[in-house]
Amino acid sequence: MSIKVENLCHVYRKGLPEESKALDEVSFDVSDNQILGVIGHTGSGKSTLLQHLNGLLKADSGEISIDGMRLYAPEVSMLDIRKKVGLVFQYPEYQLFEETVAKDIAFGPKNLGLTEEEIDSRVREAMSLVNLDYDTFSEKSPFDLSGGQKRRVAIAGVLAMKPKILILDEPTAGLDPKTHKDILNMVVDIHRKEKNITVFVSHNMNDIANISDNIIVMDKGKCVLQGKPEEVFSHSDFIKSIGLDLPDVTQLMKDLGIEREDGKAIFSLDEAENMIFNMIGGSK
Amino acid sequence: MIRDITLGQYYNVESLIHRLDPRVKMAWTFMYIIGLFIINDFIGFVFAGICLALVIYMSKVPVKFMVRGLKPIFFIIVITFILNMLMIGGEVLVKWWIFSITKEGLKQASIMAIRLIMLIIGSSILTLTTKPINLTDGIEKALSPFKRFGFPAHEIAMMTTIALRFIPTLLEETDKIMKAQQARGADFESGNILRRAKQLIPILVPLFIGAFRIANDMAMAMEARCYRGGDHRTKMHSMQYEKRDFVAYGLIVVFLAAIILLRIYF
Amino acid sequence: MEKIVRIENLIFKYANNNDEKRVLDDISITIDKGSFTAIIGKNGSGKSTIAKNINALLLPTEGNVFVYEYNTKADEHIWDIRQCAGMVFQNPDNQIVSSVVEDDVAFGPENLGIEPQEIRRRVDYALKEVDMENFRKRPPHMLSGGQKQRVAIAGVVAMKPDCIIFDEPTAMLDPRGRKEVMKIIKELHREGITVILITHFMEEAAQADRIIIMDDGKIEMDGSPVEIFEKSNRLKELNLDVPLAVELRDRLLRKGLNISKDIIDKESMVDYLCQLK
Repeated sequence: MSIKVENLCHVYRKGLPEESKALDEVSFDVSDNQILGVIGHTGSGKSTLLQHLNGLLKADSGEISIDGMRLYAPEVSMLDIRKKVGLVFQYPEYQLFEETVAKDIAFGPKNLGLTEEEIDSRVREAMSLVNLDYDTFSEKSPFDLSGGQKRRVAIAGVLAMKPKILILDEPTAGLDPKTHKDILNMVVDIHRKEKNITVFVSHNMNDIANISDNIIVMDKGKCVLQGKPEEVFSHSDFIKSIGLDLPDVTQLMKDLGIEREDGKAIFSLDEAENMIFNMIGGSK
Repeated sequence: MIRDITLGQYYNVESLIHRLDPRVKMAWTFMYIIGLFIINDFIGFVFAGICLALVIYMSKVPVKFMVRGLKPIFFIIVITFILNMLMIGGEVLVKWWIFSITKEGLKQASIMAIRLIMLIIGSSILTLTTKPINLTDGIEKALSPFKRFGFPAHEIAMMTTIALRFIPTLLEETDKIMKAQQARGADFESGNILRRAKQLIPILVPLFIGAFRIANDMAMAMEARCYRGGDHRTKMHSMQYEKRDFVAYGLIVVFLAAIILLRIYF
Repeated sequence: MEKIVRIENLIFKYANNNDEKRVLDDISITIDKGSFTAIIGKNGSGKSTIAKNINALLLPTEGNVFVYEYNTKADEHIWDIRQCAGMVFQNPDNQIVSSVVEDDVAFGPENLGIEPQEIRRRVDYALKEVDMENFRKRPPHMLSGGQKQRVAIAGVVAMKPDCIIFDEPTAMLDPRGRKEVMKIIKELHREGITVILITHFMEEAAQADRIIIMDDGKIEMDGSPVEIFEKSNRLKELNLDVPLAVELRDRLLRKGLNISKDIIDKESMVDYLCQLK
């Protein structure tokens, strides 16, 4: 499984005076079993990019291949793409509509035309992936649940389509710190269990640094930087110049003027603690 | 894309017509329409046409914007023209099978068509040069004398204001929900009517729930900002008439008088 | 010190819920005029319910809430209370009434029946306070989340309140919007407005001069940031974040470093460590 994006361009309001390039020659690869973090400030083209990856938006030029399947080839149907790529929107709980949790999660599989038994087993599987007990929750109304639980149901609704690639647009937006942590851990767990490719957008640089294998940085529709988190965040001045923050630990170490010998960014508090202790240890 | 739909086709430039009080513009539109129905002769339309052209020129709105409004009703104009042309008897000009075109019919048909076209163009000036929000204020103010008979002028204006505010938000919301359900494999484009109607449920339910949530939040936020209906309320834009507004009112009288005179003497 | 808000033995239950759960369970708080208080707690801890009780949007099931000498239960003073203690809500979209920025800011003063020229003055002043004067004629739906929230704040500032209650004003914003809004909150406080900030972000609460921690309808902790962060273990038990500087301080303390308990933010931590270098 892989994603290959080449020279993707998307223009909003083409031909009008307020024409703007939402995506401008974006290229990147994601290989099997990776978590890709996407960062960039609001309006940098992140959400537009995600919507291209499962065919909701079509590029004006460029190519996307998912596992060798070219998205814009004439024989590829939307349903083919959606079977492979699941997209969880921002605040996905606002899209729940069924009377019961189980029915809502079944909406995706039903659209795929699966049998009743298959649908039922997928619902159970998806609910266990998001840590919702089937017997407790399946017959409840999704509207009676807490914010965190609603979000789990919404994510389960996409997981039930068994996508090989799971895309999440700010999965933790608007949650309190505890729920935030729970949902983030859940995303990592799902990734491990399903061995999928996970692409996620977040404004929280600590989360991005901690769970991504690779990062792409978007600015004004362009992919301006990509690489491993410790490389990307070592370009601290550049990251700041496009309106983004550094992870908290990285920022602290930068302020203290402590650097690793290889120049890579520091995320872990354990490592930071030792380096700080060494720095002041001599003068004590 | 659903987001590209523009509502309330305001054309944003500075002009004398834009600056006029919305009440004056509403009065003008109303009287202009009445005028169009008084006119029954080409000379009248020439006069009204000159007035209209003058106003369009002063409004600085490109003519193509005016004409654009005609597109959706072009069909209606054509039908009206043909029907009028064929239905009215008189001196026969052309005869073919059971149809005959008469001189009177042709005249009447042309008058109807011109009237319709001028009516659409004329009233589009009101919306092109007045922001919906000012129009709402204007309606509230114009209708406020009827409050004493229990007419809810303020409430209607307030509702319109909030509706105008939330139309873009709800359109955006609809767009988002549609995409999210499409991402779960929903298909809104195929199947018969019944199937299609059923496919709307995944959009409509979240949309309604969203609208109720907005309404609930809004009510609370408005209460917190001391909203308690129209009594004791003041307005920042108190809508005072300027000299130009009185001149415009005066011109309405002149316009109507001219049209009536033309009708009587020509 | 003059008290602006007095909450006495407040118990609150939602009337339509049959279950006897107390959303707020015997809460007593007084807020000094001119102070900056943060109320923090996880979702469902009752923190927003307190805010709505102060603004008389909700009324106590038992106990009393006073804004100055006005009891929120007394109908005749409800508009005085809401004018004195303004409120900014979480969702920036759902509290803006008009499709023109400056008309929205005028909404509150218009409801108070103020003279048109005075409204104009206040709107100009309020937009300047939140640094949005260049957007006065814009439609709100074209603004960013942070800008919308600033417009909402201007709408409250234009009512000239003594106290503003912010109910999770940054929860739905991106980091940039969050910073913009926090900057304005601090500026308003500096200018003498009493600020009550409901939040679930500890970095924001740490900027207040008093932190009240809510859990399950009760007040769990109440004190200055320094006092609160001394008990960082308790914060973790309550599933709340601890600022990075405090976490690092505790770790260095455990390593035997003699580090002051007053160090709770990154800046003072950096200053302190650089002296030791």
